[in-house]
Amino acid sequence: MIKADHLKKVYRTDEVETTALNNVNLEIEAGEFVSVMGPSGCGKSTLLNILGLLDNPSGGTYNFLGHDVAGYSERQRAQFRKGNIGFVFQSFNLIDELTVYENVELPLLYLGMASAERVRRVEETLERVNIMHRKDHFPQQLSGGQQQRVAVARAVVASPKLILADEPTGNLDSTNGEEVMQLLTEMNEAGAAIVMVTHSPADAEYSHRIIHLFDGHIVTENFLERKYAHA
Amino acid sequence: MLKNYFKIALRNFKKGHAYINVAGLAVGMACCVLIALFVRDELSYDRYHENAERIVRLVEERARVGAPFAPVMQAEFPEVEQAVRLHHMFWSTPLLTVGERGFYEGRIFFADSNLFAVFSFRLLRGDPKTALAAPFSMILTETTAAKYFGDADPIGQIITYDDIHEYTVTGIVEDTPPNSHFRFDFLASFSTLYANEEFWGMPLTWTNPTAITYLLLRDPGAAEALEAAIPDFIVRHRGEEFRDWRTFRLQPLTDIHLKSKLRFETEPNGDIAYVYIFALIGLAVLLIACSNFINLTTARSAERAREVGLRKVVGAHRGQLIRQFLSESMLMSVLAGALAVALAGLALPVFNTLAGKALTMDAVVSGGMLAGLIGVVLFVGVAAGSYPAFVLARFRPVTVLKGAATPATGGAMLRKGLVLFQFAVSMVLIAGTAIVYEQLAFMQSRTLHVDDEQIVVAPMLDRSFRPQVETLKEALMQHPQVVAVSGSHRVPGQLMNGFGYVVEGGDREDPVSVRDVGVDHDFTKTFGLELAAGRGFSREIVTDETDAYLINETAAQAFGWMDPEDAVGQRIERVDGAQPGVVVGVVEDFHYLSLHHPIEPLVMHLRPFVMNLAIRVRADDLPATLASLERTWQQFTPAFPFDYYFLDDAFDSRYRAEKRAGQLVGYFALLAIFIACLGLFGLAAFSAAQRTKEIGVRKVLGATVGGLVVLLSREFVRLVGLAFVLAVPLAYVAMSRWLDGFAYRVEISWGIFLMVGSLTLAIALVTVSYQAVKAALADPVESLRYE
Repeated sequence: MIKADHLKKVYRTDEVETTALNNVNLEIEAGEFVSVMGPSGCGKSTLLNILGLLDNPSGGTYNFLGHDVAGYSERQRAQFRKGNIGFVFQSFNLIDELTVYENVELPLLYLGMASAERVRRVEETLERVNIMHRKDHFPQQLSGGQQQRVAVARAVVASPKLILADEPTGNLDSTNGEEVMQLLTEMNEAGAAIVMVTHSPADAEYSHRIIHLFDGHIVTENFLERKYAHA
Repeated sequence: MLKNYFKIALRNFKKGHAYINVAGLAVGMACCVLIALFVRDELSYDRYHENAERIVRLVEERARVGAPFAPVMQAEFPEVEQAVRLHHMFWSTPLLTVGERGFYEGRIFFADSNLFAVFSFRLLRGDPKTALAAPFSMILTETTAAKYFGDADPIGQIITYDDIHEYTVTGIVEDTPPNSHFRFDFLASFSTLYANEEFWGMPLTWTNPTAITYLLLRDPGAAEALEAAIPDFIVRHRGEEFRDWRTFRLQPLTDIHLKSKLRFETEPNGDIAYVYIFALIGLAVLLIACSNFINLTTARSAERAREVGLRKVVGAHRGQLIRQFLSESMLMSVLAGALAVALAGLALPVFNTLAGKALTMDAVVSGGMLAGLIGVVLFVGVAAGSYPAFVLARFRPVTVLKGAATPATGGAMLRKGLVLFQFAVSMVLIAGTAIVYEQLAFMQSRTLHVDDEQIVVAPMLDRSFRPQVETLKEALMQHPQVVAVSGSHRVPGQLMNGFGYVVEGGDREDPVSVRDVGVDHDFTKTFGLELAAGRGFSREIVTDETDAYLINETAAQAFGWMDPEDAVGQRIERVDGAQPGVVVGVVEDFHYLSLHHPIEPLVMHLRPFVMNLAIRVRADDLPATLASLERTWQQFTPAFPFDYYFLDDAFDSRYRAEKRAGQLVGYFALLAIFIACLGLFGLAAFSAAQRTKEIGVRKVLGATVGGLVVLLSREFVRLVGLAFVLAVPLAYVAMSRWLDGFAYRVEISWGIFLMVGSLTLAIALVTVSYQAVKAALADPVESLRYE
């Protein structure tokens, strides 16, 4: 599903040139659950942004679902992102002015889905993450764990093929964190590939493969016991 | 999707400072609506006449000409379809009575019988062709008819004029629309004046300017040629020596209200300058409000960079975000527009009082104004939505979600520029108001007044009673509060006759134009006039009655006596050789007319045709004094009520236009600064929010609250300072031009600008420091936690 060759990302300011990613080669198959670990500043988030089509690489090729997307314009990337990729952030990033229901509905609105279908999908997803009873609340009326469940619901409501999670448990206590990891595992088992950046070895245990990044390079790859469904 | 946008917009409205935003815009637009109504009304004067475009008024330096002009011009010039004359006895307010009911009336016009063929006044009863034909015919307006006759049928009824003449009511006419340059309550037939020529002592000759003369032209384009033909016309009828007698002009009817300031206008006219000034102010306030709205929307949009990022992450593309921001700002702007109309409606009664108008909101709904309002709403909506729509929507989600960039800096220059503009305009308006008030105060201080006392003026309307004036004066003097009483033809504040005077035996070809007023021995005492040389009139010197003059300093100089002492003992006479006399004294110059005009030469003599009684009274316990004066008055002349005014008020009324303008400009200045402050408040809040982290870090490092307040306020203070620098020359030039309209004016002092500058700065500081203090007092742990 994902094939990245010699990915390179360089940030330039007037004086300084910083290499965030250097010669990263990565393949991810449909339905796979991959964790990315490494110290702060190793390029984890940069990698995630490129994989999520939020950013373009400075060099190398990136093939996503059979398309060479490395040179896509922002507009093309946005178009491609819709319905194919869902995001979960450490800081939840819900829109404060929208209710739980509306936050989850948003991706479907941008997909131009018919109203009846939207209602069905949103309610189904809210049931799945067990937050239906809070659907008319605003994000700030929810606990962190609840907010992250909403964020997961928003990420999966359009049934994307890839979910990108950037330290999804980073702002949660262990109980809530575990709940969110369970949820992500369920989504993965339902067929979505997941790439997750994490500092937590415990969370990484949920995945099939752990990639360690250091100074923009992949240094190790560990395959775990847990086998994924489509392997 | 649209629903989603509106939902977000409404929720933002509830939580943020959006209400400030909408309120500011609404107030600004409401001002603009009111000003537009005012301007529209001023421009609408006399246009309701069907023939408005074809009617011209024949004038010279006065608004009236000799009575024969109209009929003779109509007979001789084929291009003149109709010529109609009006006569207004502006100096007299006769007592009109029907049975027991009587009122002093001022708005009586004598009109030719073809009035209705020229003007579109609608006659409700009576025959428009004949109602004004016979002498002593009278048409009443609806309101007047009801006032005198109630429900009874007025047609054929008799109205008595000053207990002397009887008029028959021949018609009822609709009330004159308020947007007319002359308004009447009664129309009497012009033929009455001919029937009465001797009685009025008003010869209806070519040279005596008695008739306001309107010509209805067949073709409005003919005016210029007709005007050019008038000198020959006069030569034909008056002889060659009259060729350069006067310069006659034809004024289009629709120009009279705003562009004519002749002597003997029927009512004080408006001034096109004020129309321009108010239109400019309206525009300025609207611009301030709009820039505010744009400013705040832009600033607040930065807080939403994260939302933009998120929406992009979940699939929004730029077009959708642009639509969202545009529809949001459009919603706000429409809301403000609706609110503005409601506000204007609420404020209209107050505005009408201030502006001396009777405007209604009807005009807002009908015609161009609604289109204009919608245009403004659309423009503001698009302009305010454009920055967030086009700039914000371009942000890349990675950047904004990281929170690394502070995207708002993009609009910073724009925002600063707008704040600068707002404050500069506000300061110009405040300075303008201050200078208008200073000039008004100056004029009032220069006007005749006697300290701690009041001069009450009572017109003497009862002719039969005039011989007994001295007895009445004595009776009034008995009252302990009365200081002095004087009977005279005119009093200061009223227009006085003009005559040519020469030094006895001097050159009659070159007379001095002077104002001439008949007074009594007590005139100087009553009005508190000071002698510069010689003596006042004396009862001991019998010859004073017939051949003594008191003149003012300007007159002395005009006659060629630079030192007042030189004037005493000189002999002067009227240019026709009448009334020779000796100058017994010179009084110091005093303003007997408004300060719009320079003081003119004035001569006073003791041959008064008493039409006014001036009573100087002590100001304490005025109501009791007036009641007592009235009792005395009534004993002498029971048929005529004691109708009086205060001299101060009469002068004040001459400055009514300035006073109104001053008040209106003042209120609009207040609103402008209010709206500007709303904007500043919002911007300060935004700026403080932008710098939350900086403030936190500085506090951790030991910054004091005071230091932080200074830090946060500095930028705004600098902007206000810069606005001040821009505003001063602008206000100076504008106000100098306004002051040029006065013969006596204040000098614009730096003090005013200093006052305006510090006032504005103080207001701005209070506004900004509220936010600054709030931000500076915040717990730094709070502000840093988000990192």
